[in-house]
Amino acid sequence: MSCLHIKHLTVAFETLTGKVVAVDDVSLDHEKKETLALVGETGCGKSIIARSILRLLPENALVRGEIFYEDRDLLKLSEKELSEIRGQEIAIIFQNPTLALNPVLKIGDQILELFRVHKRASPIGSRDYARSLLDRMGFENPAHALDMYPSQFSEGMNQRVLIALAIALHPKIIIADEPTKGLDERLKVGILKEFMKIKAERESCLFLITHDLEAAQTIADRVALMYCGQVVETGLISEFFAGPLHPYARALLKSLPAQGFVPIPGASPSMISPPAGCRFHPRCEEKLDVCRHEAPPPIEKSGRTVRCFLYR
Amino acid sequence: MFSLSLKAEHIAKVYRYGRPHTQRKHVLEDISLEVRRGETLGIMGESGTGKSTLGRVLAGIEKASEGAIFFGGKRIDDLRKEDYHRFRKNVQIVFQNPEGSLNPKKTVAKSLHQVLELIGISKDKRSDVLCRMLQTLGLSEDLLCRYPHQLSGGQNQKVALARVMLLEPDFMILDEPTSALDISVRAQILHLLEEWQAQKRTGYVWISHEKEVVDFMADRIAVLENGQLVFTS
Repeated sequence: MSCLHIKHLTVAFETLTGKVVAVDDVSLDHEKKETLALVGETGCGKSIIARSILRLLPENALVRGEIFYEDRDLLKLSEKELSEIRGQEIAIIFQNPTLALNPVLKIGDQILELFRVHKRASPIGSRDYARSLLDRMGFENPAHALDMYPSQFSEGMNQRVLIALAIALHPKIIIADEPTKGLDERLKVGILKEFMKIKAERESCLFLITHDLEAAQTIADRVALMYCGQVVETGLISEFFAGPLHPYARALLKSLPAQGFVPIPGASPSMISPPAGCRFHPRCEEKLDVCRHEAPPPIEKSGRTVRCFLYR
Repeated sequence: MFSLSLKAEHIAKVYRYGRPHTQRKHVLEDISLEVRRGETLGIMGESGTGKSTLGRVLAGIEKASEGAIFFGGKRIDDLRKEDYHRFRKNVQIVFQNPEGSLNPKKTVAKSLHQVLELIGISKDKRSDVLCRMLQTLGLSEDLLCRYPHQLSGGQNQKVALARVMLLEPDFMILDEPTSALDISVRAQILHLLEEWQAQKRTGYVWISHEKEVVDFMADRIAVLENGQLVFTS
């Protein structure tokens, strides 16, 4: 059963040089208690999908499609209805911790603000809970950390504060946009373990957006791979790593450290005028003639989907 | 053969905090290291161990509480105005958070044109130089009219790199330059910076917690723990 069902989501932006279609007809099913990893190249639209779910996009965004959460289309809810869902039922951990935290509020006040806005617990009880959250996130002196400002912490420490904020109200869905970015290996492993624990204890769904394939492999159940605004492959994470279907997926796995950081030839395409046909064809080493002028539809293959003519 | 170096001697950095600034936090203690043109010194360590502070002190944008930084054998605190400007142009830093290092009120084109103006590239040549740099970094020209908040993390990082590379500095201090990037772009940037170093003999101070990346890029490695150098190779 789905906890989040994205149907034909398209997000575009009008810019001075033309219309940018950042997300193009994306459909995804996020099953209950599942960790879904959305992976792909920089600027391919992963974070736009995350922000679309909670309608946190700028005003010039043109959004089409449907995003169902518990039979309600999040794109059609009023601002008041949505504010009750944000943070309490669906929480998001943003990509850039230093920008996501308020620079003029102490960490403790930022956590307590959550309880004030959502009218939960007394301030004293909340402070104890806030301290326990920071303790859980590995802060050596959580009571002291509550009185610090984000500028007094490193990027990694601020990232952990953001995760504490996200889990504070026990949301059903946690959207984590690059939660391990900027963390060293020890902290990364710690945070990933924490996510697995939170998921197991609270039966939350985790929607992990990451460029870190190793992190995705560690905690995700399923993967959706994006390229230039489109989802090009979905499937179980184990199957994806054992035998990627899309040529882009194969090239991506080659750029892992164990394969010697082999870069994918060519550059990411322009989102204003993406290549005709398959968007990956200019960089693809397995392209067919048809790829140049016809866009491949999603093709079902043994429980997985892939947008590639090699499987037609 | 003489090789220009950037050197830290017995650097310490102490921050005061609390009211009225009576408490002290020792972020760096007695750090001495040197990097020469054409080589890469990797600086590793966990979050909060002072790697970024060391990078900022080496770049001269933060003052050490004790010790000194030497550029080309001269202590930077004693440099005359012209030499100091030469130091600032030739020791550039790429920050961990690229969005924060770009002016949010300027388009990518304006930010980059400003650099070209500063280094005296004539108006008619600026567009060509800029296009070549964008091509080198694999960035599309569409990005030129956008503001930093309209770019992804990786695109911002590439613009931050372009801004520094246009100056062709002797040394680049790269503070987690690939941690914001996805793996395929990371691979591109690593190869690109490797080629750039081979062509320009730029010295890199590569600050990172990614062991594989440091292993791939660095000639020598220094490891920081609680503000102290615990290992150098």
